[in-house]
Amino acid sequence: MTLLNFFQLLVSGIAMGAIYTLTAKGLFITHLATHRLNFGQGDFLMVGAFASIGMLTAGVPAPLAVLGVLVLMGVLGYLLERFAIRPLDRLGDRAGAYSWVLTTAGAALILQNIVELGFGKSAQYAPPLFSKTRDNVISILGVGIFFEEAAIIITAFIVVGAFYWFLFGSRWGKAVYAVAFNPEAASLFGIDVRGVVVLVFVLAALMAGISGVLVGPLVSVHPHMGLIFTIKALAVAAVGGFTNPVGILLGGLLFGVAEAFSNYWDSAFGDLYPLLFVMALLAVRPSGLFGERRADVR
Amino acid sequence: MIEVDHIDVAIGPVGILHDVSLRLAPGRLVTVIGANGAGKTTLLRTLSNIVSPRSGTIRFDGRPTAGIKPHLLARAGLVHVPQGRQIVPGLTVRDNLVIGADRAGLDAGTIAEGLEREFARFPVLKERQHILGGNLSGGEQQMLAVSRALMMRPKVLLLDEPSLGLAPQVVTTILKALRGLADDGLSVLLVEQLALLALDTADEAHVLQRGRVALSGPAAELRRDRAVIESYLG
Amino acid sequence: MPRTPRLAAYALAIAVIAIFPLIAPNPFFVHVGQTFAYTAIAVIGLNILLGLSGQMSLGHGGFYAVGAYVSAILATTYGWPLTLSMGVALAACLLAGLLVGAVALRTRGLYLAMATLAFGFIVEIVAQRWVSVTGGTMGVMGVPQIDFGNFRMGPTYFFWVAAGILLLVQVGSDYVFGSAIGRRLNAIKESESFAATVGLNVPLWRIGVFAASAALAGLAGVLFAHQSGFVSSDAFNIRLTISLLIATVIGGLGRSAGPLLGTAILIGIAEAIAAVHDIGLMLYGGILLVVLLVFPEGAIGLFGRRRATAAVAPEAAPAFHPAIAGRGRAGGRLDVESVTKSYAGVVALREATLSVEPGTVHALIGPNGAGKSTFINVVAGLYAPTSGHIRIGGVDVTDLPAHRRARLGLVRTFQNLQLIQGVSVLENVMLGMERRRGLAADVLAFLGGAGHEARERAEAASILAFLGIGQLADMKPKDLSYGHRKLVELARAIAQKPAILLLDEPVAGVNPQEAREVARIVAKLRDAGISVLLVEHNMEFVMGLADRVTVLDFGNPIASGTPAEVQKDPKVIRAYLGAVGDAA
Repeated sequence: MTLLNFFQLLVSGIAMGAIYTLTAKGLFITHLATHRLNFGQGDFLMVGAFASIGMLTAGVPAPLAVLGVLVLMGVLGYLLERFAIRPLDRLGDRAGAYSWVLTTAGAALILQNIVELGFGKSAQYAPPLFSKTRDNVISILGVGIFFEEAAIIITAFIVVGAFYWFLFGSRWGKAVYAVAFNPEAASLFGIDVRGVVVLVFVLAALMAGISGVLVGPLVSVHPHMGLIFTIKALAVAAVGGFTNPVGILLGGLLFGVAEAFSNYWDSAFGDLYPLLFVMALLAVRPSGLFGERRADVR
Repeated sequence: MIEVDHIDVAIGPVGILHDVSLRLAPGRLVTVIGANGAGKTTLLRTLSNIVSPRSGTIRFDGRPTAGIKPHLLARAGLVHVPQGRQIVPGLTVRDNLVIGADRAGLDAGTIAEGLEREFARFPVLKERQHILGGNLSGGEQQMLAVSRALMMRPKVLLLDEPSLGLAPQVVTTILKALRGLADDGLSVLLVEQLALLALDTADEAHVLQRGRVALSGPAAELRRDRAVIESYLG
Repeated sequence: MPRTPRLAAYALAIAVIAIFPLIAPNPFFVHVGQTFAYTAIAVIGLNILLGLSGQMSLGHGGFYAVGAYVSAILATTYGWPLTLSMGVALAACLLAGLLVGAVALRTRGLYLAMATLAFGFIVEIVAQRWVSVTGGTMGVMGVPQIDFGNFRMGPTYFFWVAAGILLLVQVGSDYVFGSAIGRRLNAIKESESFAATVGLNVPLWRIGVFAASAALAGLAGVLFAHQSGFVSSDAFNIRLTISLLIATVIGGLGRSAGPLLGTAILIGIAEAIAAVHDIGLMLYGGILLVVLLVFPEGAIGLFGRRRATAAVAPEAAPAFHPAIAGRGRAGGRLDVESVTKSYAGVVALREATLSVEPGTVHALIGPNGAGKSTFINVVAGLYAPTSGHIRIGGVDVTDLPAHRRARLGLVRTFQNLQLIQGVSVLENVMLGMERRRGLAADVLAFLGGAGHEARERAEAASILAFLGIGQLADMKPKDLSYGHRKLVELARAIAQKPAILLLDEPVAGVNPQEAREVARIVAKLRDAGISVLLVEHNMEFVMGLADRVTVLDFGNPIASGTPAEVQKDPKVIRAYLGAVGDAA
């Protein structure tokens, strides 16, 4: 491997890793607040990708298209909470402990089918977001890097930063922590617990949607791509320990980079090795790489 | 401020409160005492609408509270300090203080004033304002819990066993603060296990036994009643 | 519901299986019957996993695929005989189940869902890309079919084999649901601390049931491979797992007959939506949502709720006499030596020392938050002490987990009641009992019908009668009053034949008559030689019953002595009632 190759793989890995991080952030925040999450998170990403392809190819200017995707994803996140999560609370004991896994997976199937009907089953490529052509290369310190990748990395980090601001800096983030700690007590401080739950699911959908917009130009997009992203986002969140928002960032980047190199060494099964590694890691360290306490993820 | 009339409360098939009535007038400190399992906590949870009574009515500020969500009641000034303090461990002391006031629709000036007031009431909170809530001692957490509630500008304060697990001198500090608040016109309903301390602090008292009000009267009178003590120490 | 003898029902099933292929109007029906048979096997495994043990799997399609590929490749590429290839395939699935289950052992729940999802995905990808072995999407062709060399009668023979295996699996499932195994899985699902308290090794049970369920999915896959004669990666995507899950929930989770009904409905749906294949996924997703949110009990729920198991007539129950005999111990001695427990730097219990003499009642009292619960949980083994030692009968058990301590005769009740809602009161009591027979003998007794577990039922009924609540045997714990639930928990503890009994607030929230009744019972247990450590707030109860009393405050023992001594101690009065004359 040449040094040049090394840097290019590193940048590609960071780009994908940043996207995994974004997707996993959505899982993290819903799990934090509600101990539930969307097993169709990857399918939400897929919907985001197709929505952006659809609008961009129809000639909608990129900023408008992104806005449109965000609105659509927000609505989807709300609908998911309203129709796949909230009714389970009303069932109480009659609902099984992990019914939410299946209801969110069921919602994901419906989304796959809708996209299939709208865009067909075959793979598509999104037009580049930030530059005119896909292979626009810029040179940084003498290393040629795809402009698109660099722009995606920067955008992803801006979104991650915004996420951290939301979580640690905004009044809503504090409300999320209060609800995560004890929903009943939170309501006694005047916090609208249901509102916070809706908010985190909307936010999770937005993170998936942004990931979808960003991933479009990097990989081929098809209606059944979601599963892989769900699995990888779950793996990244688990490496981060589900309780550690900073751990997820590191875990996501590590995962993306490991995958890029692993794919380089073994083009047939390279994408499986990081996943197998994460599963083995969880057997040994259930709280992930950065978690401190004993994992008790229910 | 609070009028409870003949409420029955059940959790599942199990009756917890039976025909409970009580009044909390402005500026009064009323205590509800009773052994473990008597239904004290359920009474407060019912007043906050976390559980709904099966029958009977509750009025707050003259209006029935049936159907009002707990967070809206809290914002309207019926503030409940739950058992075990429930300080959000991952937020700083200051954030814990502001979190309720921020929801109650208070403006920044009022919140800043409130902070000054609470820091004066419990100076230790000012010293530790940037520390995470989870790192406070039990006594400091209880002070924080009371201050967090007061930050919301309550009309009525409900407290569930503020003495739980605290050293006697800390309990005394907190009860003294509650007495002062009532003297300044706040209505306080104090649920306590430490009966004698509560009776020494309160104006009126009710003894709850297995979900019923067994005794009621001025706190000083009940303080002298052997029956109260015997219901505890056998 | 009349109680048909089980053997008669199974005999009828055998007759149906024998005749069905002979009277089926055309081969298509036989084919559907075959598919039903092996699919139902996988669904039964999922039903036991989800419904009984409460563990989620999103990767059963993966185990199914492993079973299908291993057997197909060994039989086709390597020419192994079918019996051998199928056996090895099952072993492979069992192993895979153990490995995947191990990932989630210490984490549970969400991670198990994630690990299984990843497993199914990895299997699918490997099947697709490892073309030299699996043939990828082109598949393995010419897989030997189970037809015993008779081409014309082949489908009939296959049906008999698959349906015969299904019947065996269904009998196994009925046994699991109707025996101590099912009760214990229910207990593990609802409360791990309870399960450990009745002596169950929770991780072992969890991983065992997961591996067994994986093996059943693999068995279905094996049969699939040798039905169609062709195995390709297209058959094993996530949709297979989803289909199996749909059949499981649509039939009705946690009921032994659910999978048969669910599989029948699933095959019906699959045939019906073949015509509208374009919206197949949407229909599957919609069905999942509607079933889980509108009919969470599944189709079998429409046929009425699970019937209560018939109880032994109370008059048949022998009078119960508490005894610790049979365990070879004359009352237990419990020594707690300077135990300290701190959580994240906060000391909940400091240097607590206490000995319960054999055959006495020792009470531990103190205000709320004084560390009593911590004490009991440290003694029972749910929390590890930061320092100090715990001895049972002189043997150091500080490092033993809760379930091992329970097997040594250290039995507890819980302050916040731990009763298993999924089973009846009588069965809650039976959870405390050890199995008396070997597995084979128990299965035979089960097949024999009504006499199965009759002795256990009689004994449990007699314990309930001893506590004066024999009439509650068939009710569900959630339908009982608080006081009755407390008594049921005491009955379960007695069924465990304790040498040392830890009672955590046995009369909190019960009425005075019931409290007096509990006092009478505890006194009887003590007279029978059982040592009792009692945590309680009700002073009348404590003072009337205890031989010795220790008072805790802020994690420190502040007084110890006879009830009379302790009652007079000014430190105790101060801790309990608040400082007299000290308030503002």
